[in-house]
Amino acid sequence: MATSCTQKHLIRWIQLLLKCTIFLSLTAAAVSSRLFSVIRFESIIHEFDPWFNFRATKYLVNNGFYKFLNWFDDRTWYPLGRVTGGTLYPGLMATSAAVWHGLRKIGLPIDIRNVCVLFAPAFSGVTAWATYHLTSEIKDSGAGLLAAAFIAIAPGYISRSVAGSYDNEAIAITLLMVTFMFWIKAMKTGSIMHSTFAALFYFYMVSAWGGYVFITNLIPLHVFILILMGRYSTRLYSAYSTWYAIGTLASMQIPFVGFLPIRSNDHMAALGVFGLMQVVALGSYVKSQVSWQKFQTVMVVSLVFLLALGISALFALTYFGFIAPWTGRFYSLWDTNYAKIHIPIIASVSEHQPTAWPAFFFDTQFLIWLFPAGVFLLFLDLKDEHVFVIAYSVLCSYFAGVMVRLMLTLTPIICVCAAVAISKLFDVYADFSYFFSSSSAEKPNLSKRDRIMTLVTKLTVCGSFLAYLVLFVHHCTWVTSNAYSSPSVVLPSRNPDGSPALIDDFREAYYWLRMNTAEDAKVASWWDYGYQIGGMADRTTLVDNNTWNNTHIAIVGKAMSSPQEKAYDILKAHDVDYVLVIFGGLIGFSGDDINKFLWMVRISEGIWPDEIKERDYFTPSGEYRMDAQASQTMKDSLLYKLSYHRFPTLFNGVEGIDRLRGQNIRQVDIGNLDYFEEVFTSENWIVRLYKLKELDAMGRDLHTKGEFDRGSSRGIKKRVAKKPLLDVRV
Amino acid sequence: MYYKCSSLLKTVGEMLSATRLAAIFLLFLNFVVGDLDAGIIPKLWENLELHRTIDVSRSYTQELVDIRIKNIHDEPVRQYYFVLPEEVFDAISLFSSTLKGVDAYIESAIMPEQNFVANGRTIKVGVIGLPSPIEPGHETSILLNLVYNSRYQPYPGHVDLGEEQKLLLRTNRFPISAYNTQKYTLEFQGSSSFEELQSFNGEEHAGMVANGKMVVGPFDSIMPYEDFSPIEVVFEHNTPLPRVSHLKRDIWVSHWASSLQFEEYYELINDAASLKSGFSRADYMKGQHALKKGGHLTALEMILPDSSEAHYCTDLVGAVSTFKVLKDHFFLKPRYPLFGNWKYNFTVGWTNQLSQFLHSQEDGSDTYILSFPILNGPADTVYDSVSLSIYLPEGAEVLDVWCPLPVQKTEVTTEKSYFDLNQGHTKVNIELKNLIDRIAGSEAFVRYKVTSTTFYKKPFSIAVSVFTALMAYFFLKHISLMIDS
Repeated sequence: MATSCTQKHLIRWIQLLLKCTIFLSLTAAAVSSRLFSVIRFESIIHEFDPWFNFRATKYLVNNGFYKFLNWFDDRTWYPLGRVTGGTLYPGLMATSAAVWHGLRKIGLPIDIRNVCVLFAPAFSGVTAWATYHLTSEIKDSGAGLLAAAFIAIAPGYISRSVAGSYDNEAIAITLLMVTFMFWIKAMKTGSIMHSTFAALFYFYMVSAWGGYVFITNLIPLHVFILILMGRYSTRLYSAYSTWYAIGTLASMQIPFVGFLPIRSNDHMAALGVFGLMQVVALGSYVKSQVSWQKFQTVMVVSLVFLLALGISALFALTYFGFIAPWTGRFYSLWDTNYAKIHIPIIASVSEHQPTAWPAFFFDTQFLIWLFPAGVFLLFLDLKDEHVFVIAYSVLCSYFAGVMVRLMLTLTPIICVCAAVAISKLFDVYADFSYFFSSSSAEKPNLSKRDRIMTLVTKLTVCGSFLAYLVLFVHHCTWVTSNAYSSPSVVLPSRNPDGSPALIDDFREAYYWLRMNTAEDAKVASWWDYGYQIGGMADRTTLVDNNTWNNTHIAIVGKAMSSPQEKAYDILKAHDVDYVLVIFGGLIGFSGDDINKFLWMVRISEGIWPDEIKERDYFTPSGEYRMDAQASQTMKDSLLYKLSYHRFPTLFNGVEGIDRLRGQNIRQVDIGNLDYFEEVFTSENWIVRLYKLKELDAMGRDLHTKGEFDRGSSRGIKKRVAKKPLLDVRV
Repeated sequence: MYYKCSSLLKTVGEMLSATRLAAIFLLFLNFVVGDLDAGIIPKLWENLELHRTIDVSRSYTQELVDIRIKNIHDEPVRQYYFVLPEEVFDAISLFSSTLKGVDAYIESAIMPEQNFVANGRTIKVGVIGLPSPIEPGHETSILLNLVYNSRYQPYPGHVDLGEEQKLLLRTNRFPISAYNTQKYTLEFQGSSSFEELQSFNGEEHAGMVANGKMVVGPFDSIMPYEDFSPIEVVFEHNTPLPRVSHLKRDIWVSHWASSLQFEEYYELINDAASLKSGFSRADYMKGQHALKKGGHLTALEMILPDSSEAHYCTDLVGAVSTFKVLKDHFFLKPRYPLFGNWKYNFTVGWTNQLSQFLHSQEDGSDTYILSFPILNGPADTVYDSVSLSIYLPEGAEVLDVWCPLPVQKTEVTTEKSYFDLNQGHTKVNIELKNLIDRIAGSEAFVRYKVTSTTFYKKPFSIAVSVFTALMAYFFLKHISLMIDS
């Protein structure tokens, strides 16, 4: 007895040790595979939105939390400004500021930038831990470990959580998994503690990412399905009521959310299910008190009455404006063409495009085909918590098909389902105990041939799946290193001798702006670069990636697509000092402004359909060209002139070759720039900066002045050449 | 806390002879009596001959004053007073003197707080103490070396890309001296062409340009403080004028890693002529101006201490990848070429072996002497202000600080860094101003004491903290708040 007890103890200790080791190595794998960009480049904030988050974090660290919540930012959206404190999700910044302060307290005064850069990798470890617990609840801890391993290295999640990609999603996926984990635990046990934790983490999620609406709808949906399946129980009642009450009250504390939970349609499902829950609870009480016939009548009448009342109230409240109707982003989830027609600004963002099919394989490799198998296996079992996973899978599969960025929310459930499938497979096929068991009683009566065949079958299945797992690891590493580890601020390239070099034009130009322009200079650029200019150049911008004001963006679009004199007036009216354009024609950088130009045209056409017409920017045969055949409107547009200004000089002065578009650009088409003056162009011409010329002291318009200057300099030459040798005196 | 330098001088006596200490004796005498009339300076001397040579080849002005003096007093005199215009004094980086023909420095110092007034203008006075008193009627010759940043003005102010840059120097035409001067000449050198902007009222005074030199004078019998009318000289100077408006130089001493880490933050500006119109990259590439000489600054070269490692360069937006280290030369190509009036802030850092700089005292008193270079910056550069900080190990006690340059302020504070769980690193901060690249060879000294107890205190306190945290976790895990049971 004593020996078996110590043996049990020993096994438990070994298990614990193994688990700890597995988790440590999982975290190490998760973190290290996200460090490619830091090792290859440097510890730098990536892309666009993270620059804003970084800037906001710095503001929070320097000014304290209350000032942060009341932050009115007058350095963006000039001259409107932005109520930044009230229009952001503070969860991410607050967390990293807390981490920063905490580390300082224990004698590690780490730079806030490094905290921000390494934030996402650090949290990916927590995500793996949460996924483990979630999957353990769904199946068992074996499946849990598999799921944790998958989520740790799945490219679908890594794409938004590499070092430097300091975005809301970095923390949101972690919170999503933790909330779901607590919800499953709460729902299974009816524990108020767990549902309170679920609510608290829901609150955290609300504070961190706009995608919290997904939880707001998924948990009610789960509960609703369970009720429809007739699986109502008091456990469900206590879990949901606690979660809803605490979660909703807490979420209303976030300034940006405020009264949305009781006013917007996105949140009505949760409220409706909460109401339904009370009715069902009452119903079940009545059911236990009265006879079945009477209860049926009561139920039918009250259901019809309540449904009618609920729906009409919803319509009426929406109609009278008490409840906000669904937002554009919501509609674009159901109709993929909605945004293209009605809100070009949403459609212009690449991450809002529908997902291409290969992306599913690219982001999850073999998990994608195990995913349906896992869902099917869960269907066979169909416990309460399995319903949750199935609802999540179905909903998210659709969303991920509609929008690329929602691939991110699908990835965790793919990992969970695939882990369930594989672990089930291994449960059956990796069970070799029967060959090692010594007692003959356990051995079923099988012929030797059958035994060998079973062994071969088992080995084949296990072997092939192990091979798949190895391939998966290879694939994940390859994808992470090649596709998701570029900061996009710095571009890798090669020197003529083949040694690696960096194309650092963005920072070159931003730093020039920061060092050599007045501190209150206003910079007009397309909105994509707003956050970077704010973060790196520290200058006031007209529009940025927050895109809250479509008209303001359209103004910049209109200036870019108008002829220079008109653009000058528009920009001058907005106090602009500098115009920044991105030009990739010299080295073939494809993300330049000319390639984005049609969106500028479309967005401004949306506001001024009489002045800007998309058709005018195409050649008569409907092509989008920049060479001699380009339409006159295109050649006159400010963006064309700013992009190609003096470009042919690099070649023969008459014609330059745009390497990106493979077209010949003529000096005749570019013409003269009378209203703007080039002040800086980066080394590879990617960033070009222009200053708006001062008004002429003599009151001429700038074009006349330019003509005059050119005329006089030409005139001097001519006069010199034509000067007669002898003065004729009369 | 302020430290005097005298005691250290004795203790590091033998070290001084071993190290290359650039002899820059810009010492300040401190006594103030408010503004005084310059007439108070007794006329004990006569300048028989005064010859000023102004060298404009660098971004700062180097002036050599060769004076032959005669004692006209009836007693032996030892002190000679040399007058400096206030604008020179404000920008002065070096003031030293030697006896002509003798290769040794003699005592010389400026009275910084004391203002004198002559002809309605404020002047400063430097004192030169001759090695021995000069008998009445006797003569001697002294050489004065002045270096100051005279803030050349670009002339006429703007240049086109590739155009030769001309600068304008404004200085006093006549010597401002407390004594009568019998014969005086002024000479400019260090440029291929000189031109006086407004010729003085007669041909005889106009500068004669010959062999890359311009000589003004000679003039005879000039009264003390006679004339402050300036001379304006335009000269060709087709190189950049880098000026570091502020340098923050941090030196971290680590006994555990036995390393000395340097980190320098430069706020650099090019004072050269600015461009007439905006910067056109097309012209810049077409004309290959990156390779040509001109007022623009395309690269910086710094000389680091021997065998430095782990170099890095960053600026406010991240790492700069365009730097190269060849032996002890650090070449940095800034993100963009610096044209006139363009600024560039950056940080460079590197690590050296501590043994190169640290000397422990042999008497077993746990005291160490750290000698380190004051500057490692780029050549031909002037510095407006320099803040030099030395971070000594946590718990170190500073005994002496000695710097060969006039120090604005010396302060000893503490600052918390990684794993400083107690009071933090001891920080010695030295504030300097008006430095030039020429003093890069000179070294400053810090003598401090670190006992072996403080040495082991740090890892011990880290260990204790980690242990406490683990134990706290262990006990907290065993607390049960369950209602049932």
